[in-house]
Amino acid sequence: MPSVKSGEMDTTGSFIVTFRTGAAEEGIASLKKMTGITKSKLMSSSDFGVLGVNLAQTPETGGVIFQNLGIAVVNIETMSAISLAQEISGGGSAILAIEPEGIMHAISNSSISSEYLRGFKDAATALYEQAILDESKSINIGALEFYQDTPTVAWGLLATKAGSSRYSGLGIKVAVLDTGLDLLHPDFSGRNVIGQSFITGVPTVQDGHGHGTHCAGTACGPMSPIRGARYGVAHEAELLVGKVLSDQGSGRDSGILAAIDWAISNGSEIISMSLGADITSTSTAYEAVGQRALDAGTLIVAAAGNNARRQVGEFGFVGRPANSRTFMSVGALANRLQTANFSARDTVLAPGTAVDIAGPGVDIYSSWPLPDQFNVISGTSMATPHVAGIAALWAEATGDRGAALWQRVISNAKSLSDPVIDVGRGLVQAP
Amino acid sequence: MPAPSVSDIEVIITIQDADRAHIHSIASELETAGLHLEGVLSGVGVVTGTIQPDLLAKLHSVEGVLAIEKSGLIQI
Repeated sequence: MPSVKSGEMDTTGSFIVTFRTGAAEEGIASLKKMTGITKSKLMSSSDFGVLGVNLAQTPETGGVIFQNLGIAVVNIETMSAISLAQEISGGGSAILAIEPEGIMHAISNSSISSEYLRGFKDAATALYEQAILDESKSINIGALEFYQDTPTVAWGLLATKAGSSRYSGLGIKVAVLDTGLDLLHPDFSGRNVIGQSFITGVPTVQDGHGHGTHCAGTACGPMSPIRGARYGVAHEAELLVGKVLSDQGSGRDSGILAAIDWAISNGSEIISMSLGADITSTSTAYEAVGQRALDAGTLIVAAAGNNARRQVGEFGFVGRPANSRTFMSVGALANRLQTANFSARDTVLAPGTAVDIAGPGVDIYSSWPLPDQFNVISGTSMATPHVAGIAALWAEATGDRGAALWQRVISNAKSLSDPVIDVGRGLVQAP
Repeated sequence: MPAPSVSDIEVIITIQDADRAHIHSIASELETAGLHLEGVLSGVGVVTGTIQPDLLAKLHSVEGVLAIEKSGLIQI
């Protein structure tokens, strides 16, 4: 069995120097000063033209600068490299880092027979299973992540780091399409809320159900609620409320699409949709609308669905509209970051049907219509506004919109051990 | 055009990307073909309305239509 070096990297003796973006000139000057490499010994990739750098031609006691990359490779004494590293360690230098140049190897298939490898794999699996069994005997709670509501903040804001973010969604419009909002709720008084009903015969967005108020609370609730813990993510975002679900909790595609159109026309950067239908097939209309929204700079976030009963082995499926490629589909996690019992798994395995990301969705504390004012409920409906609010924070922090914002939110998710078909890229994280 | 009736179904009509600029004239054509117009969602290129089921085929022949789907029920 071939031996594998673990931990230590093979190095060449040269060093890779990285310059701060836009400060390469300054960095090169610092490099020369600190290492004593003279101008004549430091070549540039531009000296080599379109054929690229011929490393055999670079000076033994100098190096070469890769102009397009803002990086230099230099042949200096290790002690020289160490003192350079020390000089820049305080930060503020135009040189970001100096690292040893490593050696990379082709990753090739072993020439060892697959039969041998199968035997090896079986032995390794047996050892692994035994190790897990031994580990589980001593319950190691310390290694597991575990969140709880505190008197000052709901657990979902802790797990996603939204509670400690310096961003608030200021300047960003978040549209929540749901059963509406309790317009008399003290936590939203003084907040500029734009509302529109898409339910025939219902003139206002006044929430007679509760679900919409709860979701709006998680997405955009205030930093300091009238009493109790903070439960809202994008506390300074501008809130648009589209009533697309009746007080009985149901609506029609036509009203929902009209509301998406309205939200985009009103400049919403994010639309949060904690609703759906248990239909496995995807819809051309929602696919097209999701893409057109992204093109217009609007990210639509939708609940993956609650049709799983994992305790009895049913994993459900992602329904519409979340099963559109162009809608960001959100799964739900409980407070130990495990997939919620009810959270739909992608069992269809077709383009679009994926769960893209996950958010806190079990025992979520948020606002509720008067007289209750607050309530704790569960669902992928609760995970969705966490993602929507956090997307607003990212939009504020980076200026990203549409597809770029999608990429930003997904790539910053925290990996989990549960499978991708349950949690997508992982737990959403705030900037 | 027949008056709206209880047997009418609600449809979601997605307009082709290339024809989105003409959504209003396409909506008129759909009306002529029998659609009772509800919404012209120009921001997303979708037309909604109701129609008698046996007239659905006529809608498909209108130029610029990408898809016609039944409007369904959505829940919390």
